[in-house]
Amino acid sequence: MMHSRLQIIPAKRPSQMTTVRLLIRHPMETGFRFEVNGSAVTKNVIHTLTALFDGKPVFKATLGSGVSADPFLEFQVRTPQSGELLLQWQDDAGETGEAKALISLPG
Amino acid sequence: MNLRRRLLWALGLGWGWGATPALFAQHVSQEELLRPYVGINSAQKGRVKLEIARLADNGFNVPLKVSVQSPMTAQDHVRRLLLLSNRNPRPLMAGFEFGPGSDQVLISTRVRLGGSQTVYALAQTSDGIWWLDTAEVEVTESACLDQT
Repeated sequence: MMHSRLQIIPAKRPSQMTTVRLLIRHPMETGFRFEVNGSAVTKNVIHTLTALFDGKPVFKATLGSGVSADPFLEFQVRTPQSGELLLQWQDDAGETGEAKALISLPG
Repeated sequence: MNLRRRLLWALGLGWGWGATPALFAQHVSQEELLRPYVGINSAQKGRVKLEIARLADNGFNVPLKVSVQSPMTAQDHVRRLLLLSNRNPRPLMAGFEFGPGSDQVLISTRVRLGGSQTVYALAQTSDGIWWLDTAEVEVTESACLDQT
């Protein structure tokens, strides 16, 4: 389980978008680095991140070695009604992580 | 004296020609960089706005913000957004896909940059047209410390 921090700024009206800020603790190994003994460090990056709102995909990010270690991502999703936002990601080592938040719209 | 100076100059020129490509990663031209994504189409300037600091002290961690202007209709929305680098060993830094529900695109993230270069933000709208914005970035400390 990867450590992550999720911050949500929920939409104030159904017509507005919800802002999602996600920070994941991950080395994002490029595969271009070498150990002291000369062996290459294997590439290990978070390659896919998906956001599901009430089970429906709303956002997908494909990351590569060009994204900084401890990737930070801020994006916006449409939340027409209250529901659960689920973020899932997977790295090259097969490790997965997820973060979820309940979004409740006023009124 | 004159001959020696000339010889030294020629030697320096030769070193420059021969050694530069091996020491520094080359900048990829815009056509070459965009071809795998846009194909035979060309990307137009506009609608995409890429905000990135002109000077990045640390290439390992360069914050940037991309926004795409899009009308609030389901027929016309942003399909995908790509962040490209013309100097990194892997040009595609990140790609984002949006559902038909998202009509306002605003993304901020942090990327690695292997040296001073031009960063490209490439967006495709639902009508298939590619939009482009570029930003020049001076990187003091490159993210690539090895032979890449």
